[in-house]
Amino acid sequence: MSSKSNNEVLLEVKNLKKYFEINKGFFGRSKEYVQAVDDISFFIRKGETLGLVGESGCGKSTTGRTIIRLYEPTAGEIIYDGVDISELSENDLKPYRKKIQMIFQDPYASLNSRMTVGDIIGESLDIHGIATGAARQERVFDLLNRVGLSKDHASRYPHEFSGGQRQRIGIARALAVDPEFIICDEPISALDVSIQAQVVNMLDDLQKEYGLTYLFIAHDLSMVKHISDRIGVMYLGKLVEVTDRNELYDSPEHPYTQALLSAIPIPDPEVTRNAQRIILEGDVPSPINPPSGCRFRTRCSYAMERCAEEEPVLREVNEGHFVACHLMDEKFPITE
Amino acid sequence: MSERLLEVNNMKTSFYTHVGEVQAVRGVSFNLNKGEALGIVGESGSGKSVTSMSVMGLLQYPGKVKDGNIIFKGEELTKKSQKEMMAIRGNEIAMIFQDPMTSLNPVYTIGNQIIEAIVRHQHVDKKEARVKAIDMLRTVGIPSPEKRVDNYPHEFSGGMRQRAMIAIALSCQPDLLIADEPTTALDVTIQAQILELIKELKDKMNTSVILITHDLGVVADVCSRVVVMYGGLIMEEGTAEQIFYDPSHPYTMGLMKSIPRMDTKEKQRLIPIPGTPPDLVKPPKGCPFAPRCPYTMKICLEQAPEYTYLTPEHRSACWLLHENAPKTEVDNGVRKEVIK
Amino acid sequence: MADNKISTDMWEKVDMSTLDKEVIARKSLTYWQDAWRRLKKNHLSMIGLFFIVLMTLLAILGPFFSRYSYSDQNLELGNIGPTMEIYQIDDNDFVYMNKEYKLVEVTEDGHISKRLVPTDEDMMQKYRSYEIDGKEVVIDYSFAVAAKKSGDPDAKKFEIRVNGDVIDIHDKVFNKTYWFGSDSLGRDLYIRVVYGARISLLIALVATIVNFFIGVLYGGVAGYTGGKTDNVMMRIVDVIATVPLLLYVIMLMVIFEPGLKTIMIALGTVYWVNMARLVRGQILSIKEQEFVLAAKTLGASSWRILVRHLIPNAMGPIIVSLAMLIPSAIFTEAFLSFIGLGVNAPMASWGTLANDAVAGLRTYPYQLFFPALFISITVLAFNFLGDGLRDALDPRLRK
Repeated sequence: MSSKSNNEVLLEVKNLKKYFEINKGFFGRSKEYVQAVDDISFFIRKGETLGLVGESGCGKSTTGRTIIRLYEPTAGEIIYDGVDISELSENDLKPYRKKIQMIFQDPYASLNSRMTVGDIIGESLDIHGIATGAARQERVFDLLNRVGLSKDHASRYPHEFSGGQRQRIGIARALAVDPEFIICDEPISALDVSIQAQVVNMLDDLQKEYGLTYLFIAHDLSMVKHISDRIGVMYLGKLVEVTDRNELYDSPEHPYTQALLSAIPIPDPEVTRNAQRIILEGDVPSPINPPSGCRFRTRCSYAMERCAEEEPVLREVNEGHFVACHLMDEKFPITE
Repeated sequence: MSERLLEVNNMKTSFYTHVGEVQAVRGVSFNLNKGEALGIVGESGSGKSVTSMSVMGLLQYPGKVKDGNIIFKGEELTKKSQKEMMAIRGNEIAMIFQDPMTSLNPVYTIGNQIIEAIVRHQHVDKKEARVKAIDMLRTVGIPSPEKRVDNYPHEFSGGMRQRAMIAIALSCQPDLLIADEPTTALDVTIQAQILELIKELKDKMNTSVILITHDLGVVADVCSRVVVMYGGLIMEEGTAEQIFYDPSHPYTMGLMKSIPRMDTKEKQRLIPIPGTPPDLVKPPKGCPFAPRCPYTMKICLEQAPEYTYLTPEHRSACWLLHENAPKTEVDNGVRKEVIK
Repeated sequence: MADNKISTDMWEKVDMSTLDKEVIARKSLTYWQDAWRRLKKNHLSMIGLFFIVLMTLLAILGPFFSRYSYSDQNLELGNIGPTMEIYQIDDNDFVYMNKEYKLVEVTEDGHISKRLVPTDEDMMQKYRSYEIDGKEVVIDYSFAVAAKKSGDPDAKKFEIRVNGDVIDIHDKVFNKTYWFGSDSLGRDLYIRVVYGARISLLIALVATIVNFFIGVLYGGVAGYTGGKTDNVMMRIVDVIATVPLLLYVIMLMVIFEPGLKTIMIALGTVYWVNMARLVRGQILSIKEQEFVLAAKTLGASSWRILVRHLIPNAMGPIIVSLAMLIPSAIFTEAFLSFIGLGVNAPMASWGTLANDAVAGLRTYPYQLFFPALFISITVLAFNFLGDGLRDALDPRLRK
C-alpha cells in the first residue's frame, strides 16, 4: 500500500446497481433493462487513487456517474464520509457537489463552446456563491495558473485550445470548488501520447498538494497502473477483481484480468513478440441479457459447469486482494 | 529477396482552407518491400493519416498532393486519373479505417459489400463471389460465416465489424494493405485479436502492410520497420529494434519516456513532452520539434536538419547527430521491460 | 560542403523553457464572429442581407418621401401607370391620356397636375373634345372597335387632333407624382407598397419573436425534462400541428374581426410547433454532452443548465430555422390577404394589393407587378440569408 494513504475510508459503495430501462413493444409495455452496473461494492481510502479498468460497456463510467449522482442509482448505498448520499435530494446534495468533482473524457465535448474559459472555470463559484467580482476573477486566474495556463487565456473560447490544454481547463473547473474527491472518467484516453503524460503528472502533483482522493476510470491498464494505488477490474457490470496495483500485476487471479494484462501491447519489440498472449475468443455479451452465473464464462477458457449455475461472489483471497471467481475456492479454500 | 512495392519520394500534401494552406505533409520519403510491415507512428496532426490518404488517392477537396512521386509497382500514382486509381484501390491497394462503424455501409449486408468488391475487381459472377466472400469471412475468423454473410453491419459487434472490414479489404488479395489506426476504437482484448489476425494474414497472403498508429506497443508488435512522423515530416526511420532500442531522435525518445512502464514496482514519474504540436498553417522554419525539444540549439530553430544515416536503414533528422554538433548527454529513454 | 558553413555559435543550446509554450498564435474569434466571417464570404447571402436591410429602411423611412398617405385617394387620377406617354399641345402644355381616353394635364418631366374637363363628349360617336389654352383638342377613339376585331394588338385605336392636326406621342416619361403609379381609386401605389412592407416585416418580426420565445422555451423544457412530461408536451404539439392553418384562421375570424391582429394570432399560435420540435431534438442531443454533465456535477440548477448551456448551444439551428420561417410567414400573410382573410381596407398589404390588381390585370399590369416584385425579393432575400446562415452556423464546418 502506498505510504500516503491512511486507513480512513472516504467513500464506500455497497451493492450499487444501475439499470437503464429500455422500452420495447407497443407503448413500452414490455420493459427490458440494461444492467450497466450490477451489484458492485468497493471502498476508497482518503488520499488514495483507485483505478477502475474494463472494456467499453463494462459499466466503469456508469459507476463513476452514479457515484456523483448524474444517474440515479437503482439500488445500493453510496456512503461518502459516513453519509449515504445515494438518496439525497438535489438540494441536500449541494454541499457534496463541492466535495465531489469530476473530470471528463472528451476535451472537446466537456467544455461549453459558447462560454469563455474564465466563465467555464468560474461557473461553480457563481453557483455556490463562493466568490464574486474581483475575488472571482482572482480565483479564476489562480486556477488557470495552477494548471499551467496564463490569465490571458481566461477571455478566450475553448475551441482555441489544444486537447491537452482543454483537459487542463476541465481540471481547473473541477478544482474551483476545492473538492476532496475527484472522479476522473477516462481523462486521458482522447489525448495524444505525449500530452497524456502532462495531464497524468498534473493529476499526480495536485493529489500530493491538496491531498485529493481519486477514482481513476480508464481502459488503458498501463496508465491505470501508473497512477493508481489499488485497481478494480470490471467486466459486464460486475467487479471481478480488486487489489493493490503491484499485486494485480504480479499475480492477477481472475482469468479476465490475466487476459486483459496479457493483451496490452508492450512497446518493446522482443518482449511483445515473444509474449504468451491469452487471446480471448469472441466479444463481450450484451448487458441486456448477460450470461447466467459468472458473466465471463462465455469467454473463459477455465469455465466449468458451476460457472453457469452459480454467480461467484467477490471475496478476499489474500490480504486486500478480492476476486470473484469459482477457481479461487480451490486455490484459496475458504477458511472458517 | 525483397522486391520493392511502394516508393514515396518527397511527397508534399496540403489542404487549402480558409485559414490558409495547411501543410499537412511537408516532404516525406519512404519505401516498402513486398511482404513487409511498415509502421507509421505519430500523434494527431503529424501527417500520418494524410500520408496514407495521399497514397490511396483518397484526398478530398481541399486537400492535394502538390509535389513528389508515389511509385507503386513501378507505376507513378500521382499521374493516374480517378478512374485508373479506382481500379487500383480495393484491388491492389486496400485500406481499413479506424472506425469500423462508419466505414461499413449500414444499408447493405456484410456479404453484399464483400461481393461488390470482388465482382468489381475480379470479373467473376455473383455466385462465385459469394462463395469467396464466405471464404473470406471464415479466414478473418467470423464464426458461422454462411449465416453471418447475410447480416447487416449493426448486427456485428465492433471487433466483428473490423474483421469484416479486413475481409472486404483482403477479398481481392491486394499487394498492399494500409491500416489506419485499425484498433484505436477497439478494446484491448479485441485489439489483440485483430492484431493477431493482421499478422497472420500478412504472412499467409504475403501482403505488405502499412500500419498507421499512435500506439508504440502496437507497432512493436506488428511492424518490422518504423517511421516516426512529427509536424508533417519523418523524424526518424529504422527497423523496430533500432527505433525501440537505439532511438536517435529526441522526439522518439520523448515518446518512449512519456508512456508508463509496466514492470516497475514503485510509482515513477512520467517525463512528458512539454507544449503542443506545431501549427501547420505556419510551420516552423527549423526543426518542427525544436520548440518542445530538451536539447534545442540555435541551429534547430533556424534550419531544418538533413537526415543522418546511422546505418543504411536507420536515419534520423536531428542536428545533434551532425558531425560538428557538440557532444550532448542524451537520455534516450530506452527500457528493456522485464516480463514474466 | 554547405554543412561546414554553419557558424559555431549556431550550436549553442537554447533554453526553451523561457519560451511560452502555451501561447496561442491565432486571433481570438467567438462563435458568432467566426460565423459572421464565414457568412460574409457567401455572396448570395450578403445580397439577401442587403435587400433585407433595404426593405427595412424602406418600410421605416419610405413614408417620409411621399406626400400621400396610404388612404389618400383621388378618384380623378386613378389607374395612371408608373410611366406615361405624353402629348404636347403647345410649348408649355402637355397632356397624358389614360386608358379610358381621358386627358390629364401633366408637366413635361412627368408631374401630374389635374384631370381636364372635356368641353364636349359623345359616347356614340366615340370622341371627346377639350379646350386647352385656346386650342381644341379632340380624341377620336372610334378606331378601337375595329382594332379589337382585327385582333392585331398594334392596330391603331385612337387619334388625337389639335386644331384638326393629328399629333404624335411627344415623349415617354416617368410618373413623378405616383412613382409606382396609382390604383383604381387614385391612391399612390408606392406608399401602399411601403405600408405593405411594414405589414410584412411586422408579421415577420412577430412570427420570429413568438416562435423564438414559445418554441424555444416549450421545446427546451420538453427536451430537457424528458420522460413523461416530454411525451405529453410533444403530443400537444402534434395535435396543434394537425390543424390546417387556413381552417384555423377562418375559425379565428369568427371570434375576432379579420385583420392584422388575427393573422398574427394565427401565425403565433401555430408556427411555433415546428420550432418546438426542432429545439427539443437539439436539446435531447446536447443534454447528453459532457459539458452539461459537468454543469450538473457543479450543482447548477435546471434553469441555469437550460439557459446557459443548452439553449446557447442550440442557437445555430434555431437561427437558421427562424430565417427560413420568416419568408414562409410573409408568404402566408400575403396568401391570406390575397384570398381576403387579411388586413382590412384601406390598409394595404402586399397580398391585398395583389388581389386588387387582379381585376385590372390586363390593362394595368403594373398594379400587380410591384407588390409581386416586393414579395419575391423579400422572400428570396430571406431564403438566401437562411441558406448562408445554415452553412455558416453548421458546427460540422467549424475549424
